[in-house]
Amino acid sequence: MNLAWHIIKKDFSHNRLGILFWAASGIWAGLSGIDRAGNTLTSEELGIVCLITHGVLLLGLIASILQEDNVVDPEGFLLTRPMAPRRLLSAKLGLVLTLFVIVPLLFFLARKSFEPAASWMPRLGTIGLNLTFIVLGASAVAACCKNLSRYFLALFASLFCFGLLRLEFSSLIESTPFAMRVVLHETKLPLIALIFSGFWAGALYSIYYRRRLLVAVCLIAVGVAGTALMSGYLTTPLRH
Amino acid sequence: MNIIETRNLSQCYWSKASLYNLWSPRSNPPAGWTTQALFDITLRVPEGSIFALVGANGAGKTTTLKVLMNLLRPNGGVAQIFGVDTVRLGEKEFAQIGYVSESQQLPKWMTVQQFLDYCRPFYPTWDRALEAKLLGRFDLPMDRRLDELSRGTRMKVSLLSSLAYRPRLLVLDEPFGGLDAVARDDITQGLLESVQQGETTVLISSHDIEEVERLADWVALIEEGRVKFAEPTESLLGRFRRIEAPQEEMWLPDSRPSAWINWEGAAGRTSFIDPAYDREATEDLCRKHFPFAGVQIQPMTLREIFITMARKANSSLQRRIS
Repeated sequence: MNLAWHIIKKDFSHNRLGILFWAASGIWAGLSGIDRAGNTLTSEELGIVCLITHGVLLLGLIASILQEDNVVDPEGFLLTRPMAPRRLLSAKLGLVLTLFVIVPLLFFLARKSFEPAASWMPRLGTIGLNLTFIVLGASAVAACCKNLSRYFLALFASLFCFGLLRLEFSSLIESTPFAMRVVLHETKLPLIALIFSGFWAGALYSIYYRRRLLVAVCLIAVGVAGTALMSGYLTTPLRH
Repeated sequence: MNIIETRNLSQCYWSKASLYNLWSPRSNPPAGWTTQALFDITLRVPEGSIFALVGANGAGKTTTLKVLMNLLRPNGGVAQIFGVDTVRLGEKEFAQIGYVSESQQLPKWMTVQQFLDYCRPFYPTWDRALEAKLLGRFDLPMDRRLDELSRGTRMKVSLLSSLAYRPRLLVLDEPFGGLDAVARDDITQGLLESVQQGETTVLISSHDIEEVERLADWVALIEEGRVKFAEPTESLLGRFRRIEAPQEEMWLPDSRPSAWINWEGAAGRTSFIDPAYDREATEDLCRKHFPFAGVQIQPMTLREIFITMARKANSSLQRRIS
């Protein structure tokens, strides 16, 4: 039996209840008119609660799947078992990307299938890239942390740094008198997601293949800072 | 042939050192940043042997095993298993290695049955008959979750999952720690039954000297990160003797051999230990230094030898400090 598939089955079985709740909250949020990108937010409180639950469950499930066979902890079970790092990484990434990127995209497609493709096709790409960015980022952070509390602490710290850096950089750009560039629209943000997903993938490679925690943490830090700077740069209106 | 070979293995611990190791695993960190856990450990574990690492708490036994299992990267020296550098151990090698440690993170949400079903596909050589035999010996509750089991039972499950594929090398880190006599006996018997054909080499670290004496045919003593000796148990037990001479007061002969250690005087007897016993030579020396009747030469247990060596190390440390 393929060992990657064996691990995927085990992880899915272990987290089936969480996955069920995550799916239910997502479907509820979707059906109540709340869009993932937040464009059509309604005031329905239950929908908002579902969306928040959906997000928190997403992050929690990623951690649960990644940390079940932790490679940072020297007492990790699979570290002394005949499981190549590439198989373990492919099993973990395969499951999280399928569950948390491909399935939501299929759900989105099912909802929009009766509308003309031109109206939803660009958004499909945007959602797909953003989801990949979030899932890969959370996976990289989860792979670097031994337990759930450290993971959420690290996520919070990353978001805090992201917000701070973006704010600082935006105000810096605004105060630059001779800045010359075309202000790009926010729809270009997926491009940043695509570029900086590479950092998360690099961090995962460092952890699983090389077991270099510090290198992975540095890559994540650079990724967070870079994303903040790029999004600040692209979304700040300039004085020409 | 040696299954495991280490040469001048060194390892240091500390937060700064750990960070440093992440960048540069093979070079020595700057002085003063680290606490050295292993110093120039050189070991050879012969194939088919049951090799025990004994030593006090913090001596470096577990660190040595972790380096061998590639759970820690050594700062210096070389460690090889089946002739492969431990930092390059891969699927092929781990398929022939069993590792059991009390601190290992098992998937505790699984039942015993689920855990065995989970482990089986990793090993093409998994032997269902041996699994059934060990299940019978260990009397495991198949439908109980691992986190509901006692420490001893969990250790049995872990041992079963590492024995059932007939590994070429079995590494056990403190398998008897905190277990009652029945659990210890079960584990020892299960282990002996499974490895008696000599196909499996066992490397075991333990405080439990009695179990080690029962199991091991090679013993290595590790103290303060250094190997004090590594030799066959039989030869070790053969070369240590406690010698007692009847005397009113403790008296140390001036020209006594420097090898004789642990001089003690009590209840009209002077006793000491000869760590290099040779029947004829020792009896000649005894006749020379104690020219009166009643000198008794007694064999020692592994536990007594271990305590003797530990005391010797402590006294030499005290001398160095003073």
